[in-house]
Amino acid sequence: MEEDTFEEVARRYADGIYRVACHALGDPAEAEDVTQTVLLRLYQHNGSFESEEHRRYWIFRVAVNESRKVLRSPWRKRILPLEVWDGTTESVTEDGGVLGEVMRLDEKYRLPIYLYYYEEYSVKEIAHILRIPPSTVQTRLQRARDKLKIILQENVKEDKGYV
Amino acid sequence: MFDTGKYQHECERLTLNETAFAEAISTVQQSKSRSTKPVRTAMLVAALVATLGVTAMAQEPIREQFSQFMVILVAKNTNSDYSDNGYFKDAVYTPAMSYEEKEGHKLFTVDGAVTDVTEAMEQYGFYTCEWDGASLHLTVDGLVTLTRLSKNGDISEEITLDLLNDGAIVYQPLEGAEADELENMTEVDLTTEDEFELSGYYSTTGASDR
Repeated sequence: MEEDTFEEVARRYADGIYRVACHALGDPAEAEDVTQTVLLRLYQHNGSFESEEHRRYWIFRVAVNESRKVLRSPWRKRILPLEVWDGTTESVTEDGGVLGEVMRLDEKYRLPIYLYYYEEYSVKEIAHILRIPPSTVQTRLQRARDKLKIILQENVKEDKGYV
Repeated sequence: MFDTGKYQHECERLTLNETAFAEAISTVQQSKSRSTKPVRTAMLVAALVATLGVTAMAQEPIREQFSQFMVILVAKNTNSDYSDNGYFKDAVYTPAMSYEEKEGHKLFTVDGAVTDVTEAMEQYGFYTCEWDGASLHLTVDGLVTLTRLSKNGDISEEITLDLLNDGAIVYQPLEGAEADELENMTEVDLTTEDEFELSGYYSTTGASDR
């Protein structure tokens, strides 16, 4: 890939890669490392892309794979403090922290939520990216929504002093 | 109620900081001059893979043609999902590699080509280069990960070796592992010895510094 093209493409997708990695890993520092690795993979990629959509799909697939590599690493610290995300969400939001609540969900729910609601991929496309059956994607989205509904309702009650 | 608009707005503000982006671009630019030459052709690799598909022992005559390191893994668990008969054989080919420190310099050798990685290790803590279409990622601790991606961006081959510990395999995710759910990923971790057995790894005589 030509350098000019690469930097342009890297700029276009870096935030998306970072968000995918954040949702997969729940750790901003690890997400930065994954983003760097994915950009390196993109640079080293010898094949061509059929379309911009193909490239986008490829990048997200690699981002998911690289994040999973980190998750599988025996050196990865298994427990991530929630304060990491509390701090981040406070810095990026002032009005409720829905992202913070998403990040509190189990990791298997976070990526489907992100890919569906932010990247606007279809269930079928998410199934391809995550390599899980579409029915599993549907189930996880539904469960994630149910969990978020409960959590966010509880937050509202707490704000009103019910709890 | 999950407010998708609010979620999208908050995601929009979750961005990679400029320093990290600049560092990533810098790393990529530095990787340009690090490529090592392939030592084999795709055709020969295909032939080798096909041969190994028959039996792990059939590699002997072919192995000598390459300065490579080979790993054969067999799933012990007969209920394994990774093959129909309960056994899974996979071969990952790596170059002959060593990582050593000489006179204050950290030297990474790939198929005889020596690179001084001292600066990269001090600055980033890792060094990445390309080998035969795969990437080699070496950490300051001497762990090197070979990763090969398919056309679709899936990991088709991956292995991590500990170069400071006689090339010990750190863990080996097998083909098909990506289809698993995240919570099941530990099933392919070689540290869980009840799942997989390392049947052997081989290097060409004199090709490896191990």
